[in-house]
Amino acid sequence: MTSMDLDAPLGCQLYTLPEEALRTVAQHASAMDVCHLAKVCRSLRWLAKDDTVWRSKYVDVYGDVDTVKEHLDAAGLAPHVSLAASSEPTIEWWQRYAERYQVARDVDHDEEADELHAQTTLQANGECYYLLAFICYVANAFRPALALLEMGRDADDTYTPIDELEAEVIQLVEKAEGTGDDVPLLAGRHLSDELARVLTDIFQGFDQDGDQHLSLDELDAFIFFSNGQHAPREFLQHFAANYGADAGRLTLDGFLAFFLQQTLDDPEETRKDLAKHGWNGRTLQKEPASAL
Amino acid sequence: MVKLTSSEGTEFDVERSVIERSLLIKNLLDDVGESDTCAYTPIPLPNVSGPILAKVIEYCEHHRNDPVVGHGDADAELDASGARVSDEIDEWDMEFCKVDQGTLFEMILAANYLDIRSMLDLTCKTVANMIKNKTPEEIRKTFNITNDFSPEEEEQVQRENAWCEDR
Repeated sequence: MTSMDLDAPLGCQLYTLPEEALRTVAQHASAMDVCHLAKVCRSLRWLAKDDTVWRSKYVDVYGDVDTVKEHLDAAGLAPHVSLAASSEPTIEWWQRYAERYQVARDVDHDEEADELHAQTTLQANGECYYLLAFICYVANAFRPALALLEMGRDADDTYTPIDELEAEVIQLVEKAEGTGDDVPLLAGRHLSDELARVLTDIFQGFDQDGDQHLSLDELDAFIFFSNGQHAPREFLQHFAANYGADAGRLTLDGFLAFFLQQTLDDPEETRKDLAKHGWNGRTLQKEPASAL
Repeated sequence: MVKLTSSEGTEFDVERSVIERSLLIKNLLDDVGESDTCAYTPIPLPNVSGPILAKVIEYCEHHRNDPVVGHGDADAELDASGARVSDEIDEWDMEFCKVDQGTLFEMILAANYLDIRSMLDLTCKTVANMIKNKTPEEIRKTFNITNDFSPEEEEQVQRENAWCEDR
């Protein structure tokens, strides 16, 4: 290196900048500029393959596929939803970027390229995120749904259905998890421990013969207590069969499964039911006997 | 007020709220505790020369009311296409970066060392704009860099980066 005729002091050159600074330069440069930079000299060559640089470029242009996958995984949907765009996880980020880049470049006309980008890229429109979030929502995975909506808004804040769905999900989450000091009814996609405990207690109260099942008569007593009406025999049989029965008698798991579904659909209904059975719907504590 | 000492020993007085854009100094002050005690103890910055420290303080004073940017880029969210914009620099910032290369690199080093994310972004954006659309040879010329690749390496590095070239 000839360094004496430069205006910068020795040791202060583009290629002697700390890695973090060069990565920041690369972040603000185009992919082609980064490749050109890597071709300048030995000490800049590493930029062509740096994981941090290319991961961030990939995410900026094509969306954060890995994080989307994590959310789908958390929603239990990973086996059912496959992201066509995702590459082998084993290959390096610069390769992943290069693959996508070349596919787009090999399309002849700009218009087609734009269309391809819109079809294959999460980041290109909020609707992709919206649809994935909606699927999570339908699968009662509220947290992943909210996370995906947030990513969608970052990618495209003009797609308003995102805001509408988010408001809907948040409302449901607030009801289920309670506001302020309310004890949550749900933990993720399951009943909260507190609610499961209360429901088990109620179940045992109606299990007159203590056989750990609700016979149809016992189930009818429970429904009568809850709704003030007896249910037809056929309805009771269906109910038990639907949620989990053993020789025609509703199991505790079946009983809990019914309440999980009801709570996911309408948390308020569950809080009201608890109140009818002598529990405080907000604190999930037993009301004093006099209040019954 | 906080006292800072540059590498040559020059002392600078600066408001605590201004210099706290530097996360390094902010953490230092937070660790020491109340500002009264540090006012009399200058903070030595052996890595930063006087003229550069003056630039850093000028930057922090001008941007004193900006929200502090953590990791990433303030512009990233503003761009609807999701790609980062490297040319949107406001006028004051542009003027601020009109310095010779050596100074610009020293400003980058200082911003990196003092952990002032927005200043690091700005100075690095300026460098990114200097390499924009240039060939490797043009970049070498701009920054006075010698090509130190052997012919074999040259061929290898061309091949590695061939994917991003226009057909």
